[in-house]
Amino acid sequence: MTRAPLTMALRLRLASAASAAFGLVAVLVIVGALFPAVGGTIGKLNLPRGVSQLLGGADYATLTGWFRSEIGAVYGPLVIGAVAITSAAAITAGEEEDRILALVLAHPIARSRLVLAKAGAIAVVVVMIAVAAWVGLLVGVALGGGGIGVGHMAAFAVHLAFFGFALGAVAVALGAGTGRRALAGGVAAGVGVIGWLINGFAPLVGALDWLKYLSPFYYYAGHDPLTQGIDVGDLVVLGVVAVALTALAVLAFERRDLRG
Amino acid sequence: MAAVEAVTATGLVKRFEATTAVDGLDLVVGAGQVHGLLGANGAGKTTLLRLLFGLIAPDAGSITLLGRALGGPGSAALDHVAGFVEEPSFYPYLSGATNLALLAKLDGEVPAGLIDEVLERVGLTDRAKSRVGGYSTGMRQRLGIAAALLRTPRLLLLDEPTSGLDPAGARAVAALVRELAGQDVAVLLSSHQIGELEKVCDAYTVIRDGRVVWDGTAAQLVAQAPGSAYALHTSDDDRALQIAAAIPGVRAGRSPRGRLAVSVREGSLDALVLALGDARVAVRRLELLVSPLESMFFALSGDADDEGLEPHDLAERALARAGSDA
Repeated sequence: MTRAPLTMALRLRLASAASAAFGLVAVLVIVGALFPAVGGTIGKLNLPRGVSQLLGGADYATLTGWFRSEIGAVYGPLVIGAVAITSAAAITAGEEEDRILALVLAHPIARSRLVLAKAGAIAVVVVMIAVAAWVGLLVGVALGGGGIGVGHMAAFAVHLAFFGFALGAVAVALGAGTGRRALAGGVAAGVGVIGWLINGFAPLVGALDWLKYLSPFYYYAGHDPLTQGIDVGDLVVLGVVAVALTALAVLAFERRDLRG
Repeated sequence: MAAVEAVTATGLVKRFEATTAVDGLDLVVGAGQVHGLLGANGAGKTTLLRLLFGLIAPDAGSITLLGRALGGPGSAALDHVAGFVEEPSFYPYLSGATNLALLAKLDGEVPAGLIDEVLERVGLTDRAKSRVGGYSTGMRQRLGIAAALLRTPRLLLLDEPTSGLDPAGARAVAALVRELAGQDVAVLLSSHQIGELEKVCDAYTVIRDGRVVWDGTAAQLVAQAPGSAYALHTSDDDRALQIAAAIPGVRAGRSPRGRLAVSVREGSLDALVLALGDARVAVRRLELLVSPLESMFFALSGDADDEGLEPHDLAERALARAGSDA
């Protein structure tokens, strides 16, 4: 009975997560295959610093730069963020708005266990996407001519996963805390988008440079895992944020009335 | 040892901002009793059921279910308590059988064949593998009942269980409730379809504005009810009117379409029919328009328009609303 809520939540999200994972692998493979033909031609783009930062450096001359810009800067976090946020909002606030949660909670199941099970399901979905990213990189980098270590590709996937954990946890906290799907999804997406912008532009203004530490993108890619490997400190911050928000979700859901 | 009450609610209060939906409400449902919960729209029935399920927390008061205190959300007091509030909702992209299988796992291992058995009991075997998104309202209602049966309940809390069901489906639910009551399952039924409740309930609680305005057994209700009203078809309606006017406890008049409507106190109907027979006025049809339960309901909790009306006046309104040619 302990695992029943978790398997229930997973059952409902696996199909969409598998689709997203498959799509991500396909894109990574295609991006890698395109590099020999396109990357050398484009070279390093001469862009304003903030825009270059937003695009992961915009250095298309090397395979690492190519993947950093094509996947790491936008596409990878976009896919994992979108899957984590939409899934989290759907299985918390979405089920409450659809009144499915009223039937589930008519069973003798503690609300804390239910929220933790749903958060756990989101974590599993995020791991699926991150593993898909790693597998896609393995193939794509090979097709692109190699040059990125297996360990560094795994580091990128791990950072991507923790980024997904954090954004998913925002949606879980808001979904479980408010019961409003649009609010949960919208605010979590906003955190992602604003975080991306802040990470790109805040460092351009000395007095605002500190804002980058508020962006999940900083801890996801600020230390460039594709070349530097895992940064434990970054992962700890993202992990603590995810755990703290999940704990908040449990507390909030236990104390409020189910919306009717 | 005295049987444990199925539901004991004491001094329940629930406020939503400026509205007090439940205001010092007490309720007792005996073990194995079928208990009807009556009230107009907005009286607080659904709020009460949500409180009993622990979906919302009371601002004051206490609840015990099957002798266990409902101490907060997700309480183990919900063991062997089943049912639903308003229309039951399921995962629309999963089949009925899959939905039941997922819910059943929340209670642990499910005996083999139980899901098929409950689906057959509610008449959904043929649609078990169809997606719930394609179900009608009545089918979802039946699936909700099936989900409740999966839990082998000792207490069933049902909110408008016949809503969306055709007459055959409603009769099937009534039969199921009687069957469960025979197995010592307590049932609390909330409904505004009074006719359905009359067939199955042992006791009633009538609520209005979040408070209990009447509580008692079915026999007590009939004894205390203002009366009942009928549409009467005879071989000589003018003569029947004269006869009815002379019988104590009977009021008669003509409906908007010119037919006879009579309201009677307990025991007066026999006198009317016998008097008509003695006068050689044949009774061709006697159609119940307002039952004792309905007249009591209207007297205690009905719309403001119906408040304080005699059954005769209620009969006229019932006839006018039905647009019948009674």
